[in-house]
Amino acid sequence: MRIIVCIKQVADTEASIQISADGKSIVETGVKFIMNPYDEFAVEEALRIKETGNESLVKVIGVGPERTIEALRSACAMGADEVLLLKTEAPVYDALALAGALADAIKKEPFDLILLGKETIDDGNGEIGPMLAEMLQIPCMTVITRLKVQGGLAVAEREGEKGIEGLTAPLPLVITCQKGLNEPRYPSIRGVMAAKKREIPVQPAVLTPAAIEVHGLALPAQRQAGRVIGEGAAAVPELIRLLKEEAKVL
Amino acid sequence: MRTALERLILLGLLLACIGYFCREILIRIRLVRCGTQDDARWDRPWERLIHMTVKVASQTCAMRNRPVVGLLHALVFWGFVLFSVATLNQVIGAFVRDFSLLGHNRLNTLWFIAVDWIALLTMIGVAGLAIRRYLMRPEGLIRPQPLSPPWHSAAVLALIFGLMATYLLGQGVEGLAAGKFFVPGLPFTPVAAGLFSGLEPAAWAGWSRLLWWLHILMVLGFLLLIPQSKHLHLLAGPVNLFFRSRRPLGFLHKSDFDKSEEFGATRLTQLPWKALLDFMSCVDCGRCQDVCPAYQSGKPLSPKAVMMHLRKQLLEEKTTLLRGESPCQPIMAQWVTPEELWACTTCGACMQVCPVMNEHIPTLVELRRAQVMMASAFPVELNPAFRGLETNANPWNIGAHERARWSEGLAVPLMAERGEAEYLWFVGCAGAFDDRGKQSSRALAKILIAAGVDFAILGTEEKCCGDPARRSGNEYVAQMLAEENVAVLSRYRFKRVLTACPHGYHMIKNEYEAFGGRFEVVHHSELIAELLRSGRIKIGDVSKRIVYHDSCYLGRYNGIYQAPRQVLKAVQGGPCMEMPRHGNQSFCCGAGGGRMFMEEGVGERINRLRLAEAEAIGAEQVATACPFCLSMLADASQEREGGTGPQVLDIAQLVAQRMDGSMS
Repeated sequence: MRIIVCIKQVADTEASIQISADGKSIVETGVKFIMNPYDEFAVEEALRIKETGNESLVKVIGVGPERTIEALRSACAMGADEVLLLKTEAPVYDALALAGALADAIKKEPFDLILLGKETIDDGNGEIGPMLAEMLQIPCMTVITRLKVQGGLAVAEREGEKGIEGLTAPLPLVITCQKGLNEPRYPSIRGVMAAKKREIPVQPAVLTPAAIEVHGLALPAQRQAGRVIGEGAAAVPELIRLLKEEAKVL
Repeated sequence: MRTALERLILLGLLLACIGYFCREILIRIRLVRCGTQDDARWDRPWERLIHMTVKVASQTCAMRNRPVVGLLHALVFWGFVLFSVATLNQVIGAFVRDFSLLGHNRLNTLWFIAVDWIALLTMIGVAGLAIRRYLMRPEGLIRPQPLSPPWHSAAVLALIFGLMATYLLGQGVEGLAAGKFFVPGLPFTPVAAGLFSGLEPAAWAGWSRLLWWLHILMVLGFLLLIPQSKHLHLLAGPVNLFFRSRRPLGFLHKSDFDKSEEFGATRLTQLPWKALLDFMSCVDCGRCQDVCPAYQSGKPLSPKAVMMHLRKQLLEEKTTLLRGESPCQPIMAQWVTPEELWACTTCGACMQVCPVMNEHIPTLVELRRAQVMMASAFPVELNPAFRGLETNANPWNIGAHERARWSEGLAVPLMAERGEAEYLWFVGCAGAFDDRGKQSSRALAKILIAAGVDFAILGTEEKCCGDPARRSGNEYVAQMLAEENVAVLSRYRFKRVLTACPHGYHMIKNEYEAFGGRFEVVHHSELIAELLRSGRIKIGDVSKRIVYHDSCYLGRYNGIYQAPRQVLKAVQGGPCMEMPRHGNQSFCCGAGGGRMFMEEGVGERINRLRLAEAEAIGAEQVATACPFCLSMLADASQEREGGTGPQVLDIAQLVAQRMDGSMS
């Protein structure tokens, strides 16, 4: 079985984000970049499917600027058999453009299963998976927390608001991975050392024209400090007033 | 002199037994040599020899932690040494008429008067040890199930007792037959002779012969037993003492990431030869286990069991090892379980008490290294810690840009702005990111500012010192962090590094040298003690029942016991209280060796055991000098219902609270 995992590199969850002078991108100097955490679940799941014994090959395709090579090295260290970078000149914020680039590359090779994170933590659109499936004309299951691939079928679970949904679909298909699916491995240092020396193939990404343009980025408002309204029963009327008028939750 | 037939039989037996003994010992030497290179074991050979001789001859190795048992052991040991002259006389005397190793002089007479006494004292020693082992049955000896067959110890005790008994009785009846004793003026041999005086004189010769043979057979039995049992320590123990570590406690070898592709020890042959000698030297006495925080809190780790298991593996796989054709079996799973391996807090108590100076912790860390770096198999909780260290250079994975945030609102200068300072304060991750650690950092900053100390911090240029990664086997990340820190530290001019964290203190002082950095390091307890002594800070003491908890890495690892106590003496106007286990016998808080970042699901929680010890002596406050101890003990105290637990504070907080005009 050939498993393709698509990944993106994102700013570390703990990084301090600053917006650059153009107002449309973030300052990258001094920011630590990591493999998108949801994509890590996808890489891990692909490796686990391979390790259950069926003859599989795991290919990880990264899309993004040059620095994405580091994320691909992490995938190598974890155990990916093949990697490929679809290089873009600058970070691309449009999901359609990226899905197009991935579809273009994936069409050229055989595959049985495509795994991605349910979303990237930078844009958080969660669109690339379904878009990719549409472009490749195959089924798509999103936000999956359990997966079993058997006899040409993918049996999966996703957590809904009121319960767990059980899903089945024939291969090939696209699956987007949610936290809880697995615990991604910490690559062995032997793997890290080997990945350091690995040649990472790079080809230019063939981007679909972007459908969305970024007008501007802004940092979220600073969280306000808590307020003490008063003590005991006397404070209740004021609390109710604030909950109604200010917080608008009542 | 014996008859020709007897001499022939004896000669045959001697050759067979000595041959067997030498062969077995040779095998063990070759097995130890299967280990990897370990330099720094031959330096200052005379000093090593003297140290070894003094320790063995004085038997302080055995008496230090268990005076009574140690004394019984010493009686047996001294008896054995003195007795060897008698044994040699007996054996050689079978072939040479009237043989006496020391000649026929006054020294010989005195010696054998001593041996007469010693034989009796040895029997008392053996009886005492037997009573302890078989009637009192202390935990250290019976659990976990010893690997050596129980009859080994019984046989050895019986043999020693028998040797002495047959000697005394034999001498007695021989003297009776000869009409005079071997040397005049013996105290006990005549008493033994009295037992035979009722018999027909014709029977004396028969008895003498029987006892003589019994004695010889027991000596030979010993030769057969020593290589096969833990009594190998008779030989391996002193050798191990000779090759003792002269480096800082818990010294770890650097993994070479450029040359090697194998990291840590997956197999016995990847451990240094000295580790293999450790296994051969283990006496199975259980001193390490009695002080091990993991074992004492119900975890499956016993340091002695690790030693004994690995010795067993070494011997079971001797054929493979000595042929060197195929690699031996992996250590993990069959010989050491992951639960044992990850329970170690690296507190160093085992190494401190070991009578043969075994080095348990470096071996465990080598095993952890292979688990982490080769197999990627470790407790899942370490995963975020390792990632945090890689991405944000701290085990909590808090954004690296927030490292200096604890100091907001205080006039704490940055090294990047100052360029030089007398003290470069290496705050460390706990002091910069942990809530309680930050409180103690603020307290220390206030003290330094009030005293007018010339200091600066690295701020966001600082990275984790590498200790949690190093002790949990992630040498790759540890080296990366250490090298980066060394590079940053080397850029600035300062006299000394100041740390409030004993783990950083130990790393920078003792382990950064391997990464190219030699720094003079001072712990905040030492600096505060000095500031108080010189009057640069003044505090009003408040009498409270304060107990000091010794941090392992400050005390056992670096010998700093007095400085924090001097600070506390000033804080409360008198010496602090002491828990039963204090100083170099202190009991770990449970956080060392990367355990701070792992769950503690099995057995009792180590921090609760330690806090209970402080509560038992009625402490109102527990003072720590380590942010990890602070966190662990404060957690334990917080779990007490209704906030009744003692307050846990760093010594810097206690001082800052009492400083004039800066009550925080």
